[in-house]
Amino acid sequence: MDGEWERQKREIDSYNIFFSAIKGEVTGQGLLKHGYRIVGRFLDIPDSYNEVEASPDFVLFDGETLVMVEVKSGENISTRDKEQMKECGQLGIEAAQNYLSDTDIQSKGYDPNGLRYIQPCIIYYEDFIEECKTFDGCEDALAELKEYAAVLTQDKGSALQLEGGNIVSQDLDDVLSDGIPLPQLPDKNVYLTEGIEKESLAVSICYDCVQNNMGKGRLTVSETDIMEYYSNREIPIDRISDVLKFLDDVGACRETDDGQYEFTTGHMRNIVGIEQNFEENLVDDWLEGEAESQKSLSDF
Amino acid sequence: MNIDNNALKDKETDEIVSVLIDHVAKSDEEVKREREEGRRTTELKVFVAENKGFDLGTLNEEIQALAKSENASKHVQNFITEHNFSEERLNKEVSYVEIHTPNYERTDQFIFLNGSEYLKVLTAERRDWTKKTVENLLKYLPGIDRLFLSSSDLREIVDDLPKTTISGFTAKYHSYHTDKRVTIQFHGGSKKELEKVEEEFGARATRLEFDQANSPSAAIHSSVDQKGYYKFTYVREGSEEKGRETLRQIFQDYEEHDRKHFEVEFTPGKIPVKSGFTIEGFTTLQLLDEEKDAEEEKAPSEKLRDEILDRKRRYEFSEWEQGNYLVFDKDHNEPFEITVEGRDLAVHAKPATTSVTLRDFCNIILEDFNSTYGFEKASNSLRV
Repeated sequence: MDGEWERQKREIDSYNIFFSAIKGEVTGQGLLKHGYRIVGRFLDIPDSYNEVEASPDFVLFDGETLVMVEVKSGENISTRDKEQMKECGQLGIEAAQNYLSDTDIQSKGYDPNGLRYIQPCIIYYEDFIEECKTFDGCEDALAELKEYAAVLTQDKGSALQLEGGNIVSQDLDDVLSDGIPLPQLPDKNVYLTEGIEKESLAVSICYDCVQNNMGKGRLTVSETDIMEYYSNREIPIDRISDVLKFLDDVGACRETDDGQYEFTTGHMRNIVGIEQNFEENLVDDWLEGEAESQKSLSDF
Repeated sequence: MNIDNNALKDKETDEIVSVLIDHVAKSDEEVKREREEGRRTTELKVFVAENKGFDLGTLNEEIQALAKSENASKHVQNFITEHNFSEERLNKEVSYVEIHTPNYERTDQFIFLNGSEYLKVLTAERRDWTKKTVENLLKYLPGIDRLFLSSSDLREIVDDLPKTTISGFTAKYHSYHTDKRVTIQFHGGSKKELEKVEEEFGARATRLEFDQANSPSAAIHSSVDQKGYYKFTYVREGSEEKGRETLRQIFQDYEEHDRKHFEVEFTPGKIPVKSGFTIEGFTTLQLLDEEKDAEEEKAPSEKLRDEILDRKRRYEFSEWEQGNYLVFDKDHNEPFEITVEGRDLAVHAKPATTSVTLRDFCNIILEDFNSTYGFEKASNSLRV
């Protein structure tokens, strides 16, 4: 399983790199500066007339163009990538306007009726696209993808750059053709992977959920509390209970008598350092190892 | 100076402040004599702190809670045992506080002035004593955080006041680049000399002394200090109203500069929308190294890790990748993140990060790491 956490980390980084491209505070340039703000993440925008539902990673809006962004970190261009972009592209303006009307963007001074363009975008790591171009099959897939979406590349210390495909808004085309500079070290706002692997869930619980709720110096949570905290991600309860058990095992919290988990400042070194555990073992390896050692004890 | 608390009871705040300013009003002859004799004179001192939860009238309860707290350090416990505290409300926004030190048979007097977000403590006690008494109290009280200003803030504050001339300063230089440390105290030093010191030694002002004219001659002599500290050395008799104006302006400027750097207007907190969520915004404080050519033997990010994050017990941290630190401040129970770009540091707020954590970190960096950093904050809403 060597490299699995590295893979997850590369995925987590890809979301955070894009997030830096929105904010642009370190480089002084970002999509925000060009008027784009976040409508949401994990939104499902239905269009019953065209019989599609668009569910991109990020949705941005500048009052005129709705940008639907899918961020990829894998080493291939899958048929699913193409399907996702196709659905985003098929979304009707009217359906998108209806969706926006139901959100509170009007109270922020945006008019859903100002929407003119829907722009599907898919972002890959720069090095992957470079490599992809040297393989015929991959290059063909890339060319096909460009028919449905703007293909962008990104990497730390580089730029968010248009690789190909059509951008409907001239302003956005200019910005992305020039490229938006990216910081060498993007800060972390996302820790969960798309697949919500146990390692990424453990890291997210520690960094998102626990550290931001330690005001009283301690936090006690149950499995259902965690499930509610991630209510928009539908995480199976077994996975949550495995991860909490793991956190207890590595001293990031303590299981209480009533089956809850208590995190205190005393655990903070292990909470902050949670990621170090994955250099050698993944969560399941830990739990299996624990089960093994208990079994061998009871064998005596 | 003796504060007669009974005489101040139920008086308007302005009136109470006036009485204190009158104490440092001196005639030209007095000023001259004191200068010639080098005598220590009565000075009015003001400490300014951000207030996130301390209410006037609750000092005794706060101290009792602090004494019982399991997290209280030995220092805190000793401080509470060695002193007695009393608080009397003078009006809605002012309390009279006494800190008694039985071992030295001393009683120090203070006026606590509470605004909506900031607490000011006024006193005429000597600095050696305020350090032992009220400054420790401000350090230990939860919800209270002494301000910390940059050297350019000090310059701006002095320049913004009418008719000021710099008449002395303390400037410091130290950096992780070198073993060299410089502290320069310049009495009677002018703006020109300060600029020379900045240029020659890379030193930055931590305190500025200045005169303020109320035609024709210098009417007010006072100083601003980086650590939320302001001092009136004297106000010439007849210029008391000018003194009150200056104090009002100083309060306003201290607060404004503090908000500009450390107020966390937007955090990357998640706000649920329909099936997903949106993100409120962000706050990033950049510490920009203004020092030009420094030689490096070790990367700044490694120095930061070894000399600050590893060494300060209040911080727990991990390194996501080289130069990217995820940090938790155990003194305030808040997380934050640092990314190092070259020699510049960017401090990113998390959903639970507040001004106190950012302010304390900057204070530590300028004091213990590199005195040449300047601050620049970016804070924006990200949601439509």
